[in-house]
Amino acid sequence: MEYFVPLSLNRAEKLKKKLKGSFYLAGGTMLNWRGAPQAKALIDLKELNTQEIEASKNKIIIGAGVTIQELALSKKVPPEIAKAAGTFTSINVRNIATVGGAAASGFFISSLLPVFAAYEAEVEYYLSGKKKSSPLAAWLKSKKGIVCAVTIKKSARKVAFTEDKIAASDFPAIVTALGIDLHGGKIANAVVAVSGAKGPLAVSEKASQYLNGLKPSAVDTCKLCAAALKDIPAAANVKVSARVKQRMIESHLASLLRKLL
Amino acid sequence: MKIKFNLNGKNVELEAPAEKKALDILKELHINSVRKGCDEEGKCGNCSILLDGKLVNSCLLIAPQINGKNITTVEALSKGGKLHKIQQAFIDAGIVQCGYCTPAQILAVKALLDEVKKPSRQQINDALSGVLCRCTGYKQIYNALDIITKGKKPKDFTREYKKDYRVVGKITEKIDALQMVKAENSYVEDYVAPDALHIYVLGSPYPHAEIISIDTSGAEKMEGVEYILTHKNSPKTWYTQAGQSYPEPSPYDQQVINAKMRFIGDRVAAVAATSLELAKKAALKIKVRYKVLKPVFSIEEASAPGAPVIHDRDAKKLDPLDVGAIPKKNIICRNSGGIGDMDKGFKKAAVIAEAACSTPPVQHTPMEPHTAYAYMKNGRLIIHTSVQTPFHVRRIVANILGLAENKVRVIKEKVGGGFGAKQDCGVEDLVGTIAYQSGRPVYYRISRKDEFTIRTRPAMFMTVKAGADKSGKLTALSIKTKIDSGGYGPHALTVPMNGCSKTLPLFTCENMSYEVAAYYTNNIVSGAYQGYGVPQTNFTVHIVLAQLAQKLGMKFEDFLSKNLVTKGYRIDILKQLGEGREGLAQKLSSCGLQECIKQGLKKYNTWTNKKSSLGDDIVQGKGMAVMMQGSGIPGLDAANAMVKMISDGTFMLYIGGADLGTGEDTVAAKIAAEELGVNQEQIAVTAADTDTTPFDKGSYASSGTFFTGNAAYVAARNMKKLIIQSAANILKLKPSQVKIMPVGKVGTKSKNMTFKELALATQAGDGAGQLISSGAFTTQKSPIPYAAHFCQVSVNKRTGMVKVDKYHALHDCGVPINPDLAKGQVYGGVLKTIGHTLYEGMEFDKGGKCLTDTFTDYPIQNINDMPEDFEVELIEVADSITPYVGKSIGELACDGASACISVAINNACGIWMKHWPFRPEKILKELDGNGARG
Repeated sequence: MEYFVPLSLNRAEKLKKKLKGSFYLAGGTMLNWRGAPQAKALIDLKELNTQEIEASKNKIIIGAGVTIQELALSKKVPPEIAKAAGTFTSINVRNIATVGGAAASGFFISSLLPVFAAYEAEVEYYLSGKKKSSPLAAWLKSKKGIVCAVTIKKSARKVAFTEDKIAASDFPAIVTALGIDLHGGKIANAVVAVSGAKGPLAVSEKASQYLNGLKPSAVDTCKLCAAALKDIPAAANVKVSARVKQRMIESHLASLLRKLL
Repeated sequence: MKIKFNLNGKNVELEAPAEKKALDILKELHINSVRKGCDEEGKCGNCSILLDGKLVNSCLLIAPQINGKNITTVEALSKGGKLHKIQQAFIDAGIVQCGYCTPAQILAVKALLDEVKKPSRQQINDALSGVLCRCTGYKQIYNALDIITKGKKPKDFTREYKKDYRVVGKITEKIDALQMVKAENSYVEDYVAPDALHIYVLGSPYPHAEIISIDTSGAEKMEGVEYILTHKNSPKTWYTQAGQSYPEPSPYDQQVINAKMRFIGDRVAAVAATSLELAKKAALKIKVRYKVLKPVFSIEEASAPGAPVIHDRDAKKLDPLDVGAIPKKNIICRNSGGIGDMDKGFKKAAVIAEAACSTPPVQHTPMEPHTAYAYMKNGRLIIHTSVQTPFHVRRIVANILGLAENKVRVIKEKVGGGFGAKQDCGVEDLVGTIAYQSGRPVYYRISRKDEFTIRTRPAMFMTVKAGADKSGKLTALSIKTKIDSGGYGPHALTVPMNGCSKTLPLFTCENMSYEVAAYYTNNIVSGAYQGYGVPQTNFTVHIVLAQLAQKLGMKFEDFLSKNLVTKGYRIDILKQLGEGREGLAQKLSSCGLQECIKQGLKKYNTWTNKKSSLGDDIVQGKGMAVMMQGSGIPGLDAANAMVKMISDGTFMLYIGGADLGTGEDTVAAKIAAEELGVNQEQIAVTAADTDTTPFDKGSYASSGTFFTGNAAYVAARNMKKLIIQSAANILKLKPSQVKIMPVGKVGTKSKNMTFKELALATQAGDGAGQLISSGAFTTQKSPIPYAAHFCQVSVNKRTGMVKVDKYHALHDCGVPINPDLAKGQVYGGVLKTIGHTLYEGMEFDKGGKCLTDTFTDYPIQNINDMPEDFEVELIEVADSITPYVGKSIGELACDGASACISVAINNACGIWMKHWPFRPEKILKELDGNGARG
C-alpha cells in the first residue's frame, strides 16, 4: 500500500484523482476498523493545517483535523457541542478520531452530527481547486471534496441533545438534537436532527415547519413527535426495534422541549 | 516505509508496511502489555498505549500514525524494582484478577492523573470508558484512585476477617499481581516461539451437512503451508471436549475433525502455516463438496417426529455414563426426580403460580480468547494453554492421540478470563493433534468472532410451578427444564441439573420435583458458564415465588424467609440431584442466608421509589433475591497439593488447581502460610502444570477455594508435622513439647530454631533429608454458600429502557480468605449478569448464522454501566468442615441479578419479564399487554 502526505489541499485532491482505490486518512478510526485498511493508497491529511479551533466575532471554525477529545475539552465551542463530543464512544477513540472523519466517514451513528445540525453548521470543503461551503445535512448527501472545517455561527441559538444507549460501551441507539432561535417570543429556525434512526443524520423538515412561528407555550409535544416521525423513519437493528427507536425520539423530544422552553 | 518513534524512552527505527497496525509492531518489539481483546474494533481497549501522552487503541493506528511520536506502555512505568504508584495501588486495592486488561486500565488512570490531580467519579468513568474488563466489575478502581489521590488504605474499603488469624481473612497482595501490573510474560501469547506455525480453521458454512469430498492440494502447494488436518487424517477417537472428571456425564460425540458438520463454523479443516494470513489464504483454497442436510434450530424442531438426526452414534457403546441419551431423537440426556408427593403438595396449596421463562445463549467474552501453543520435545507433546482444567486436557488429548498420559504435558499459563468457557478442551485437542502429527510447534489463538461461538450459555427453557398454603408455606415446587445444546453436548446434563440442584435446596418445601432434558440442534455449541444453569432457573423460581407472595398479600421478603433452609436442615433432595450419578444428601453445617437477608434489608427498607426528575415516563421499583451455589462437588471432586521446605526455610507450594484470575493460587498460599506460621511472602506457588504439580480436577463448579485451598491446608498440616518431628530430633525434645512459633520458628520458648536452621540441618549431608509433604483433599461434605441480592431499577415506560440504580449483594462465603479479591469477584459476577439480564443475548439469522459476534453487536459492560450505588458485603460464617472453609463466591455472584431485577421491574410497573434479555422492545410488549404504559 502506498502512503502519501500532501502539503496542500490541491495536492491532496490531485493525488486522490490520480490514485485509484486510494482513501484519505485522518484519525483512521474507520479506515483501520476491524483489520488493516483496505486501500491501495492512503493520503494522509495531517499536514493540511486543519487542527485548530478558531473563534471569531461571528463564527467558530472547527478544523477537520481537530480530534473529538480536543473538541470535548474546548472552551471555544458552545457547551452542548463539547458535551456531545464528550459522549462520543470512548476516550481512547476520541483521542484519535477527528471532526472531519466524524462528518465524512458515514458511520451509522454519530453523537456529533445531530448537534452540529441543530446549530445549523456548515461544512467547509475543498473541491475542484476551491474551498466551498454547504449546510451539513446537504453536504452529507454528496460528501464531495475534502472536509476542511465545520463552521458554526455565533448566536444566541438554543440547542440541546440527548441520547440512549443499550449499554454504556455500545454506540447510541438514537441521538436527538433540537436547535431553535427565539425571535420576538416565537420559535424560529427550528432544527430537529436525529442520528441512528436509519442513518447517521436525519433532519425533519416537518418538525421545523411545526415549530417555527409557535410560542414556546403553544408547543404540543405529541404534535411535534408526530411531525418528526413522519420525516424520520426508523429501522430496526439487532438490538433495538424500530418502535423503540421511535419511542426514544419521542422521549428525547419531550425532554429537550422541557430543557429548552 | 521507514518509521521512527520513541518507545518508553528509547528511540526505535524500523521498516514497516504503511498498513501495519501499531499493535502488531509493538508486539513484535515484545511489548506484552498491548493485548488484543477484540478484532481490531477499538472496543476493548486492552491494546491501549499512550501516544504523546494520550490514551489510544494501538489496534486503530497504522505505522505512519506512530511515526515521530512518543509511545508509553506499562512496561515503562516501574523503575528498577519499584512499581509506579498506580501499579502499586491496583495491587493494594485488589483490582487485579485475570490481569489481561490491567495494563490498559493502569495507563488509562495514568493519562487521567497526568491531567487531573483529584478526578471526580465522572472523570474516572470517562477515563476508563474505553477499557473493557469482564472480571472485576470496575468498582475497586475507585479505591485505587482514592489510595493514590486521598492517601486512603485498602482497609478503608474492605474489612478484614478472622481476628485470630494472621494471613487468612487479611488483605494481602494477590501473589501473581506483580507480573500482571508489569506486563511480564504471563499468557500463552507471551511464550510462543518465533518459528511456531499459525493455525487457521476453515469453518463449515452450513449448519448441517456431510462432507462428500475435500481437496487440499491447492493449499498444500502454497509455500509456507506446513500441515493440513481434515477429517481424513484426523484421529478417529470419540470424546467429549467437556473438562469434567472421568467418567464424564457428557456424551462422546465428537472427533477432532468430523466428516459431518453440525453447526455453522464446525471444523472442516485446520491449516498450519508460517503466518496466520497465509494459513487463512490457504484455507480458502481448500475445495469442499458438501451434502447439505436439513437443519434444526429449535428444541421443537429437534424433537418433532421425523426430525433430522444430528448424531447417530451408539450412545450405550460410546458414552462413559448412561444419562438417558437417545441420539436418534436428538436427545442428549434426561433426568428427573424429586421428594414427597407433588399431587398432595398442590392439593394442599391455597395459591398456585406457574411461569415459563427462557434465556438465550450469552457469551462469556473473556478478554483473552482461547489460545494454545504446542510442540514436541523428546517424544513428548507439550501444550501451553489458557484453560481451567489442565489435568482433564492431558487425559483427553492423550486419549485422542492414543498416548500414555505421561507423554503429554499440559501447562496452564495465566488465563485472561475463563468464566467456564475455558473449562473445556476447546482448542487443545486440535493444537495437540497438529503438533503431534506434524512434529512442528503450532500456535492457535482464535479471533474474537470465533470466541463468540466457541461456547455459550445454552438457550434454556424453564417452567416452574409452585403452591403455598395460606400462611405462606410452600407446599409444592417443581422445575422442568429443557436446553438447546447445539451441535454437540458438552455439559448438556450438568447445566440444567445445576439449575435444579442449586435452587430447590434453598427451600424447606417437602414436595419438590425436577425434570431436565437436553437436545441437539444445529445451533452453536453451548457449555459451562459461571453459574451453570442457576442464574436462569433461579430467575424463574423467583418470578413464581414472588407471584405467590403477591397472591397471598405478603411481602416477598417475608414469604422467602418463611421457606428458606437454616443451619442443621437436612437437604434430602440433593441425593437425587447428582450429575449422572447419585448425589449426596447433606445436613447443613452452616448457613448465613438469614443473616445476609437481615443485613441487606436494613438498607433496602430505606430505599423509596422516587418519581424521576426526567418526567412521568420513568418509574422506579425494587426487588430482592436469594441464592445458593456449591463449593465443588462432594464425593466427586478432588485436589492435591505438595509443600517443600527449601534451604532458607521458605516454602514451595505445588497445587494442581488452575487459577483463572480469581486468586486461587493466593488462597492456597494464604492457607499454607497460616498453617505453617509464616507470612504469605514465604510461600511461593507453582500451579497447574501436569508434570510438576499434583492432580487437581481443575477450576470449575465453584471448587477452587474449597478444594484446592484445603488440599494446601492438608499438605501444610503434614509439613507442620514433619517440621515438629525434625525439630524435636534436632533440639532433643519430645515432639509434643515442640510448637511452631510464628513467624518462622519452631521449638519451645527456651529452645528453638528458625526454619532456615531447620532447613539447612535437614538438607545437610548428615540430615534426614528435605522436608516434603503432600496433601489430598476429598470430602463427602461441601459447604454451601448463600447470598441475598437487592436492587432498585428505573423503567422508562415510553422507551422500554431499564436502568439498575442500586445493587447490594451480601454473601455468606464462610471465612473470607481473600476479602478484596472475593468482593471483586462479586462485583464482576453481578455486573456481568446485569448485562445478561438487560441486553446481552446472541442473535442468529434464519439459517443459524450468528449476527452478534463482535463487541459492536454484542456490547458488554464498561465502567459506566455500574449501578450508581453498588455494594458488596461479605458475611463471615463459621463452618466445622475444616478450619479454612472459604465457601465459593464467583459463580454465586451470577445467580441473583436477573431474579431481583425481574422482581424490581414488576414492582415498578406491574409486568413480569420472563425472557432474557429484557431489551426495550420486550418491555414495551409487556407494558402493552398489561395496559401499564398509560
